[in-house]
Amino acid sequence: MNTFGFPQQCVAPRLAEFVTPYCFGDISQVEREAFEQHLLECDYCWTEVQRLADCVKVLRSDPSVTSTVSAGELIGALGLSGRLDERFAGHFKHVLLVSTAFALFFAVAVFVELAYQFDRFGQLATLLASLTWLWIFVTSLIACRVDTKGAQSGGALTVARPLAVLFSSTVLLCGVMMVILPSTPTVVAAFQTFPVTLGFLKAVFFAWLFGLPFLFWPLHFVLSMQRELASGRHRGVLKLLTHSQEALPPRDTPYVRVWVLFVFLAALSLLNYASVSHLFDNLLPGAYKTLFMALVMLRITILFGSSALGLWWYARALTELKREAFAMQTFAEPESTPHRSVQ
Amino acid sequence: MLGDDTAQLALLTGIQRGDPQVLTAFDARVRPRLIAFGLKRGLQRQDAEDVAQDTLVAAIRQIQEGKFENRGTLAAWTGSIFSRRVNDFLRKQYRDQRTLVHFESTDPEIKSAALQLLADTTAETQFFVREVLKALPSRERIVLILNLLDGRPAHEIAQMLRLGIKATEAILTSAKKQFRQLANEVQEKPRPKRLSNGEPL
Repeated sequence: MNTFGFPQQCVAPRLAEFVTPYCFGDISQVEREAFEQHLLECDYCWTEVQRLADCVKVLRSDPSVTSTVSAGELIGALGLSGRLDERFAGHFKHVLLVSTAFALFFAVAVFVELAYQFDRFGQLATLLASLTWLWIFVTSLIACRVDTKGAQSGGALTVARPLAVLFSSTVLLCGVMMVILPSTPTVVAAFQTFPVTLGFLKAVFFAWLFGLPFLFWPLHFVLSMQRELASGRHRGVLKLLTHSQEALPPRDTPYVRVWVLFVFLAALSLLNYASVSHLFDNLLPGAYKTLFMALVMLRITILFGSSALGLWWYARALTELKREAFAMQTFAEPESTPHRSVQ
Repeated sequence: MLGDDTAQLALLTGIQRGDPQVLTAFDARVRPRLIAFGLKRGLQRQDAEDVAQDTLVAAIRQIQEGKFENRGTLAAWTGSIFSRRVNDFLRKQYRDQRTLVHFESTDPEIKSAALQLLADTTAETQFFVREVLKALPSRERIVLILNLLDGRPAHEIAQMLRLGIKATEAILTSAKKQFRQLANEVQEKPRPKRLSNGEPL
């Protein structure tokens, strides 16, 4: 107890919460006046304020506090590894794009398969395509979230979990579609065409053929590199990204180079050109032939456009990661700075 | 204090009687707080001391003249006297076309005030702050230093670190709370003997 017998513990815990904002200057005038009145009464809060206010004085004026931040930490904060704990590890917009594109692969396929008889199946196509888009969009977001959480948690980062989410959602969707879609062909051509159900499964195959290497795998790899950098393993990251022979990728995360994916995309485009040309040359006249062709071109545009965007994002992310790893190595180990330029 | 009825009554009686012990204890208790409040409002130390002195003199005189009606707490009443005194001072200062102190000013007298702020803190406090900062997560530490030492607002820090503004504000708020929490934890640890620069032996 003090001179006048005033209590030594704070008797107004609600006001005690203002200690921090008061000392840091984040308090409104009304709150400040109320809190200062409380300080005139409360020895406990007054002691807290005196101690914290001294610390804030130092924080505002002592340049030596910057010595508590290492160059590596600053580089990490400015680079991709510093964003690992953010929503989707700082790749929220890219995840939205990936999920939207992957969902469109499926949704447009529904329209394509039913377009030739749009008068019969138009309403069904619209409903199914909307629901398909929503289902795949949400499950893709979940898959990306699972992948991001794996990178953020520090445990084993495996691509199996997000793949399992995607695979399950695709299987479920296909199961439902096999029941609802017609089992007869709708496209009329000079050769035997697939029934709608099989045509949809073929479209699902192509969705995975494009989606996995150009959308989901790059995200997984970038997440794993962010985690490596955040854990201080910048030397390993730099060796991997500069194709050193001593490089060891993280377990279950092989490094697929940008040029490999580019060549793959180029090969796919050639194959696609050949098959679409063959299809268009053999289509028989129909009321919705033009609609069908337009939707096929739209699907091709979406497939290749989003794959190209995914590839571009991947290349840019790898460059940023390389830059960050090189900067960390330079400041952490100046004697071992590699004598080569960084792209 | 100034809020508990029994304690308040004892204090009022002592002041009204002019009991020197009560007056000294009242002054010792209230004066440092009023000076701190004045400094918070941007007053120079000398001015804050002057305003605190005026407030205490006015409060004691009015209590002895029976002007304190005991309707609210003595703390609220003293605080309102102080607020009025500060507002009067600031209005007079504005009228006299004197500016408030800014750390960015190139006026040598004002610059030395900024250095004085640092000199007012002990080496031990400076070391203590560095220890607490090291215990903070790196992102919170960087944002806190950029905001307080560099004086950068949240939107500038957000741009530098390529974060959203709301996210940066949230990190800053969290950093301040964590700083206080860690300061209490570090305070409670037994401290080693220190050299004159605050570093441990």
